[in-house]
Amino acid sequence: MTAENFIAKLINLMDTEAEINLSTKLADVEDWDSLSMVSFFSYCNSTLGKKILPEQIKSAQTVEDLYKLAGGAL
Amino acid sequence: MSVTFDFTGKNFVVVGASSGIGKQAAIELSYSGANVLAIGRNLERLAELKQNSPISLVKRPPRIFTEQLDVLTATIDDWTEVLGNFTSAVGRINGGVYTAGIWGLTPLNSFDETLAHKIFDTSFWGAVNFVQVATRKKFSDGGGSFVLMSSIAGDFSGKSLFAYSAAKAAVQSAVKSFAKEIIRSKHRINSVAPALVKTEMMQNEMYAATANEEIISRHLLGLGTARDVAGMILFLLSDRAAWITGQNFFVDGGYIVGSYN
Repeated sequence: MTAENFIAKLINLMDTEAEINLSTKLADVEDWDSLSMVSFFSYCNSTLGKKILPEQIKSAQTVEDLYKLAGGAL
Repeated sequence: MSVTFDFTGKNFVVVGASSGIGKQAAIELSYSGANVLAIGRNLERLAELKQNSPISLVKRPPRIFTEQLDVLTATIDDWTEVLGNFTSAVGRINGGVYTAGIWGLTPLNSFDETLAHKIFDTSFWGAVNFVQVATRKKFSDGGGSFVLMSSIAGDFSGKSLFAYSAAKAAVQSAVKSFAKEIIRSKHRINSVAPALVKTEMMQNEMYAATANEEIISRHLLGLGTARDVAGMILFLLSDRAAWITGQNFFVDGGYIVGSYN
């Protein structure tokens, strides 16, 4: 998955209108809340078949960290 | 003594608006000043709704917009397109009603699998897709209100009705979960569960066969009309229901209490 596709997917998951790029800090995104974390968790584990742990999501700092968790290579 | 609602300048979507309860809700919303997107399978009947609705009698142009969509086959992209067309014309929506549903008998030992799935897809999965897309920030102002159709069959099933009953019960359960998620955008969602209502769906021969004298007599107030149910829908969409979410409301003409001694 390209970074662009991933960001589009993430915007959809969070239902956010904020400007997002790989270096965006998650703490600055108001819509990155517990519901978004669950959405991302379920997206990785179910849709992508990529087994990750909730702790890994909690410790992510930037959008790029999430991209790596989702299996994206930079 | 009458209750009227003022939805002036508000925007609502009604899915399943070509007949029955959906049609009635679309007309009454429009009558109350709202811009209405009426979505249905049958474009001709939607056009009829536009032309023959009582709103043509009032001194302003009809504010019913129509879009053809089959909820059985509509993808998320299709939903996005029809909602996008409406919101670009009138602005973001303030809520929506999903009334699409079909009825059919599914006896355990001989049910038609295609029909059973169709019943579920129309009443339940179509509603899920609608709520997912309609509650997005792109389309909905915060604080919107959404209403899905359940049925007394969701709680009080009859023989050969497992698919219909399960789909309607599923709607009630999903509403409770959705309420917790969409409160993030201050949206509310509830379901309405009518008993027997005299609509086009009831002209269905099988349906008529099931609605025997005994069943009918349980309705202490007689069989319902689409108008009886639309009143509850408009109330739930309105600000007067601002403290109500995640609930199911029976509008049953006394059916439930009329069912036992």
